[in-house]
Amino acid sequence: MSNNFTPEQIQAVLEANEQARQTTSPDVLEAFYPTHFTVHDIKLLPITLASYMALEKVKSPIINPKKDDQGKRVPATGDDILKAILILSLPPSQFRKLLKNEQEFEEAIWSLSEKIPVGEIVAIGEKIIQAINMAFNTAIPTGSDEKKTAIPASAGP
Amino acid sequence: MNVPLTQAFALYAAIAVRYGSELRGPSYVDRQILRALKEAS
Repeated sequence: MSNNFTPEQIQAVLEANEQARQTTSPDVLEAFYPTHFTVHDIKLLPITLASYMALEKVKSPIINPKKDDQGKRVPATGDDILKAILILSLPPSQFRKLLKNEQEFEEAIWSLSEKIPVGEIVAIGEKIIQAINMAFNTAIPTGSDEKKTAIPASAGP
Repeated sequence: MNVPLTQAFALYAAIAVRYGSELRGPSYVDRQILRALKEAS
């Protein structure tokens, strides 16, 4: 039986294995000491469940991409990207307040739009998608697919 | 709600492993090894 690994690959795997068992995973370190994304001096905060749900609330195509008739992803509009920047740059208490008042939310979007050049909006959208994807870097599915139904003790023997 | 998702997932994975849940995806160690293998290829 032969394997197709080169000596360099085997060495790299052995070293990585040794290092991984002695140090904290870079994904976990990144989770607790995150690299912040900035958009024209606007610091984007790490994605939380609250900000993710806020993006769902505004039906952001950044997290639920729209698809055309041929199943191709429709790019997010400038408005969608501005909404995402606004939500991701504010603490939950502030964006929740804004989401309750449609007019205030619109005003905040307009004032944000003045700070961001139109030509850069698509690249910023990609950066935001990357930041959202990074939020799932530490997710590891656990458990089995089997459904186990717990029988409560009150059901009797 | 206000905990960064990356931290929540990392803590969840640690708790799941602590209580013996089987991982269905590659562990953090596996990921580091796969990354090193990819870089060496």
